[in-house]
Amino acid sequence: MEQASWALRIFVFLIAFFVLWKVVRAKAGRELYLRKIPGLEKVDDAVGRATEMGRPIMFNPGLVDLSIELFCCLACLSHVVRRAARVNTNVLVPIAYPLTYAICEEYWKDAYALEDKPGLFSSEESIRFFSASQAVFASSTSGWMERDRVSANFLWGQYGWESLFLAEAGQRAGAIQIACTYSYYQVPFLIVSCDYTAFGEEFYAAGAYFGRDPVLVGSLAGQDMSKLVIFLLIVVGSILAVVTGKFNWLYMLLYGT
Amino acid sequence: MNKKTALQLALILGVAALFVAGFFYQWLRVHDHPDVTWKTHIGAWVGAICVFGILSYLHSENVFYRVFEHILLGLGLGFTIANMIRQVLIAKWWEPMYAAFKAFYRGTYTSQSYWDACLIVAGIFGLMWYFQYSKKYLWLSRITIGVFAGAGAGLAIKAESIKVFPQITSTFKNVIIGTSQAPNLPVGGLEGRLGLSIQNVLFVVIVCCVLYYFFFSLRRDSAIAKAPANLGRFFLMISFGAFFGNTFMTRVVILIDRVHFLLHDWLMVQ
Repeated sequence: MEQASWALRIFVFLIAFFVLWKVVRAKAGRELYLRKIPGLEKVDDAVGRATEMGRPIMFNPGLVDLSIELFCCLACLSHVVRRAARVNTNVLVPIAYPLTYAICEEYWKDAYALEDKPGLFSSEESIRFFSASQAVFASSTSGWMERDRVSANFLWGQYGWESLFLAEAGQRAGAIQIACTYSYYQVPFLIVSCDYTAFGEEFYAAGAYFGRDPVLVGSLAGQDMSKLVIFLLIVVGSILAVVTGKFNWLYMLLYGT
Repeated sequence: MNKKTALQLALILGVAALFVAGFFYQWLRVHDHPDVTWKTHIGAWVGAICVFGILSYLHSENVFYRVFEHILLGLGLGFTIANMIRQVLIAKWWEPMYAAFKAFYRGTYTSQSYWDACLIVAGIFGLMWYFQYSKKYLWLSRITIGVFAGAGAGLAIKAESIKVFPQITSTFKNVIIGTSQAPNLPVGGLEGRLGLSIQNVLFVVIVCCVLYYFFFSLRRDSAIAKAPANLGRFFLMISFGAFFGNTFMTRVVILIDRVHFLLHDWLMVQ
């Protein structure tokens, strides 16, 4: 691995080990605990509300490109689309990147097919590619949201300054809004303009939270163990910094010198 | 005519009146600016119309806004496609590959030519995306998606590890600053050391509490187990408040920039 120290290599393998260990345990049927995440609890309610109003849902992954975050988005998109398919509701998806378009379309179609409703809505009409330019994406999505009068708006992905613009458009369309983002600087804007907001690591946990798939839940538990190791490293490193100074043996070991 | 249509009509008439007023104002002013002609000033006019078109959204989603929304969308898409063709397809794919095959044909190839010739594989992979439109060969496009997804995940894991790891060592803070550890403090003496110590304690406590907040598989049934998570959420909200204020100021600067454009570049007000 380029630019990686031995400590980093060991740490990456340690994370992989924790994840695999927990996945194996989860697959073996061991019940793994996941705490409640309030924002995510309301997703099914929002889908139900959209159905009652007879208007579409919008699932907006924002400016997410081909990355780990996209796969987190897709797990949630799949969940929302499947719930919507059960009650014959359409899910609109604005897309910013061409690669994301193809992958999201696959997931969208699969979700309707899994609920035995493969041709219920047209993917060409429901999934639209706009542009990676923030201004273009924001103005086009906002216009679409208001014209189709969406009743539930899921802001689920990566956003820049357009986060507030999109959330305000959703408010004007009268939609219930649930935001889940890892874009740290946009969280305050989504908190003030959306009904429910999940952020940071909760975004990565959402896929496992919805699906309760043993692989996803196991990997989440494994990541928690990795975080525990980081937590302990910080505590021990800080104690050592008091005793022997900042550049102690642990610092040197982790820094790769 | 309903209320909404009347309001939209009033809005359009208002903006039109503003433009007519702007036009006459500039007609009077243009003599004071010998370097500005109507020909050079047309860009400012187009910009001003676009600004008002997009700002009309503040009232509602209307025809005026819709026109500019679609112009913006067309321009954005056109720019993306042109950029992709020029910067990626031609510059990074076609030109090196063509040069490599030409070198093979002329016998002037180097070791780099082999790598450049391999770009043809990337082209084949890229073309396989288009099997999305064929029900029979859809599986071929899935191979490309799989390769892209796998490569994306692998690269992301590497990038994240390299990004996050130094942050751990940066969190090792000396929470009790002695005289030997901080001889050159800007604020010297006990006060300076005490201030820096408190700062470091806060830093470590906040990092630990926020990290604890994001544990998902840990039970938090007791009040003691809940306390660090609640504290972590409290710290997060403080930081979000700071971000909000900071970003709000940035947005105001953007608004000022647009107002400056309208007043200075368009209306030429000094």
